[in-house]
Amino acid sequence: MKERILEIQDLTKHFCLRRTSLLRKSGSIKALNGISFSISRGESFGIVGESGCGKSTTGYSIVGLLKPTAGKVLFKGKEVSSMDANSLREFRKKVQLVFQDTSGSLNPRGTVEWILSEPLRAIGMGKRQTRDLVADSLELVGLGKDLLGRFPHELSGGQKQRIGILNALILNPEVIIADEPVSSLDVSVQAQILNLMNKLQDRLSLTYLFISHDLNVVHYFCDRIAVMYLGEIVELSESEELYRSPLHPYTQSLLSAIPGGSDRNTGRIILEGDAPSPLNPPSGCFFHPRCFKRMEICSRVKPKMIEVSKDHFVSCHLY
Amino acid sequence: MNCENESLIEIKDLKIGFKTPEKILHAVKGISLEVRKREIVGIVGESGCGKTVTALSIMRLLPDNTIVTGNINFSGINLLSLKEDETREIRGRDISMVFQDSLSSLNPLMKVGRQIDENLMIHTSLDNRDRLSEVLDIMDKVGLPDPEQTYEKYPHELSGGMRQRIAISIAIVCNPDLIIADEPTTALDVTVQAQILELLRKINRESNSSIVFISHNLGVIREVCSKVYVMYAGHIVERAPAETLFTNPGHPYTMGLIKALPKLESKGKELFDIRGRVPSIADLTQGCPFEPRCDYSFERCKKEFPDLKKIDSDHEVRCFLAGGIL
Repeated sequence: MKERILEIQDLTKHFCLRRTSLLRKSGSIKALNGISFSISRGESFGIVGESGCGKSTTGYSIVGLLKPTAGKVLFKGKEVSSMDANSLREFRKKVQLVFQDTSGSLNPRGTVEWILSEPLRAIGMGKRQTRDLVADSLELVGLGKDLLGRFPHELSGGQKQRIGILNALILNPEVIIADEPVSSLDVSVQAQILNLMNKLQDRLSLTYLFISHDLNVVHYFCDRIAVMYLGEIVELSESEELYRSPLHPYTQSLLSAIPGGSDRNTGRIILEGDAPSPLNPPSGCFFHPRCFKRMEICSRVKPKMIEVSKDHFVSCHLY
Repeated sequence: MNCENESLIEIKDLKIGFKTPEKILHAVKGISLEVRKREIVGIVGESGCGKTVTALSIMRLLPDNTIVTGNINFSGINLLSLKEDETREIRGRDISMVFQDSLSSLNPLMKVGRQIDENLMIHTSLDNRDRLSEVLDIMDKVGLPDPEQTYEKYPHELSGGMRQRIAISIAIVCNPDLIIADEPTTALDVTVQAQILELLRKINRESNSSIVFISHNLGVIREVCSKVYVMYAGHIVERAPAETLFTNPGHPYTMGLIKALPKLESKGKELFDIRGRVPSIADLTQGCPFEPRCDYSFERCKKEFPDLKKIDSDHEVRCFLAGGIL
């Protein structure tokens, strides 16, 4: 079996809200409610779900941008929260983030060269070495050296995302957490970036945690997929299998809602209402108020994650 | 009489330019399109192709530094020749618009019910009571829960899907002939998007409104539209019935867009990508604007601008090779 490079156990994140009145109890937003999964080296693991389901919180909690309320993150078997300063620094080098919105994540006042050398400065690399490395690295993402002096606003959306990816790659990481890396791009550019990320994976033997709301993109890109709803994983499976035989009613409705599919206008499942607020999640199974297959038990008892067939997990009372 | 085939709005040779201190930048370079009664027409293209500017020009909502020429014929009147107060009569009553981002298109300081009411107040002579019942009616029709309570809410208190339903209520409350929906589902989640698309189809079925549906998402376009115009760099490069566009695209750009979408079968293979990027509107080319990115380009494409060529009764393509080897 392949080495588990990243292991997430019972990760929980609650955001406390400020008390609005003396008499009222302060609430908390339950963004993540104990999710567990593990990623093997060289794998592309996808997290898919709608806004507010906790997919970005998962990414941020893993790298430590958010401090988890409970649960463990293990990198190569070592727990991140109990690492000493040295191993923590190593961990941060080896696990990098790529963001969705490059106009927000690239410093607008820094040139491409400045942006790309910042991580190298942070680890104390010398000036000349930094300059050479940055100049040589551009070729990796298919850009020319002429961009070094440019500012982010002078670049196209695709070029900016390439710089964002290169910025994550420059410290030679092993794991890339990509949070909606292609969501703000046009179709033709999206295809370019996905192809680039695939090539980089082969060339640098990267492991991806790919977060997206676009099911087609996740299916195309990932080996295994976790479907999240209101801070929980409701289904986890190998991606072909998930597409062929989705088990959870939420996954079924997500797949059937993809516009322009071949089964258009026939057998489409349209869910009622919106996802409930994570401030005040429903009782029992979180999905039951919108579920088209709900049973009496669903509003009372929370379903447990079970393995229905090999490597196909689902948490639903139907199975 | 078959009113299905009657033309509702006809745009002829529309050109839109923006004045800048140095020169005029052309965002739309002479497009012609037609929307018939009760039809849902799609305009698809990538960012910067001119689709939103076209919509805004129909609504006469472009800023003062724009130069618009051409003809927009809406039931016998040229919209571009109207004075501001005459446009205001039509805007919201005969033609209305649904924007992409409902959080910024709705007034944050006004109860949502009042925002729907505002449109009725301007365009009808109904009294308060009739207007209220009309508003509650329409809110119920678009699927908002407890219209009476929702009436009193402010936009920030509603979810994205509910806000978009409010925006749609505002657009349809005066029973317009034409609704322009500019990326109405782009900011929404897939499951909510499916709800809103279903709602728009229902409105089109049940009232006599035609819809111009603008989107960059080919899947969404395929789902709701009967006829589609593909725009690239300010030109219409292809016009076809929606199904034909997907099963038998005629322009290399349309083919590229469809091939670039990740699909079930594309798993494990490299995705097709259209090389290069969309030209900036400051770029001036003599020939076909798609030539630098096209896999089929040859000498003539560099020098000459292709005409729209009819390859079927309702299928036109702006490419020299259309209907031939492509």
